[in-house]
Amino acid sequence: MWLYEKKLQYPVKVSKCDPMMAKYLMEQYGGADGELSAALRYLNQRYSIPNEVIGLLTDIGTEEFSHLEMIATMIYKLTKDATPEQLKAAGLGEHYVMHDHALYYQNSAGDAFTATYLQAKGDPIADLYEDIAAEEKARATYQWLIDMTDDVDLQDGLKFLREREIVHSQRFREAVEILKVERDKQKFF
Amino acid sequence: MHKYSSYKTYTPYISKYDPCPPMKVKSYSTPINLYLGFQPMNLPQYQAREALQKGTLWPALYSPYEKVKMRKPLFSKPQTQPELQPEEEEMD
Ligand SMILES: [Fe+2]
Repeated sequence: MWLYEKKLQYPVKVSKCDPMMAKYLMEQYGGADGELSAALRYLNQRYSIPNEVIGLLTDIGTEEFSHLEMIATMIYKLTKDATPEQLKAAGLGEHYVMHDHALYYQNSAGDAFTATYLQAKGDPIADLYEDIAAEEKARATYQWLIDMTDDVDLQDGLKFLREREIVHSQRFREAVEILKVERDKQKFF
Repeated sequence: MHKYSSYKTYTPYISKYDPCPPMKVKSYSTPINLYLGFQPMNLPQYQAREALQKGTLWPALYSPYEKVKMRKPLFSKPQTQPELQPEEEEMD
């Protein structure tokens, strides 16, 4: 069960009219290493992972949805007032034809989201290593997105999201440390 | 306690036949999670507001990124234009 708080995890402010940046941000909306991908990956893997790590996957998977909401807000703000001509100039002409001003789960190149972006191998180490890699790839994507804009307010939100990926990777690395200890050995204190 | 830098630099091979002006120094991020291991107990924490702004509760986990063009090569001579200091962060 989830409880919803009607606010963003971190305030989103966009100060520059730049619809092309919306197109780039879609990489983190419906892209392979994006927030939807992350949320679905962790919330699905948690059923088949040792008990100690289930809560971590639930927590991080839930947080990824709040990141998705921040990215959606950024994309919405950058496109809601754009004319068809402006969208066309930003490379979003096809998007307008298919979706008008609606958001859609696709990457920056316009490819629709697919479940093949995520894995569930059932092997806890394999899955956690995938999760660590996913976090590092998301962190890198945020870096390249920061490079693509000079809007300091948008950068501020992206920097927050990048730091969260670092913390998530740290937690998944700790989860591996928990699982790799000799858990079946008798402990002596 | 050890020091770490949040990015590393290297100098790729440059051919005299390259079509574009060369990027002499390349860099990549090396965030704190590569070094920390299991997070130690009772690390110092930010105040709530600063923690939200930073994206983490602990200074030890804060590992910021600056745009590539603002980065300074860590192991080569200083360049002519003013650039950011390399980030040397203390870690408890
Ligand atoms: Fe994440």
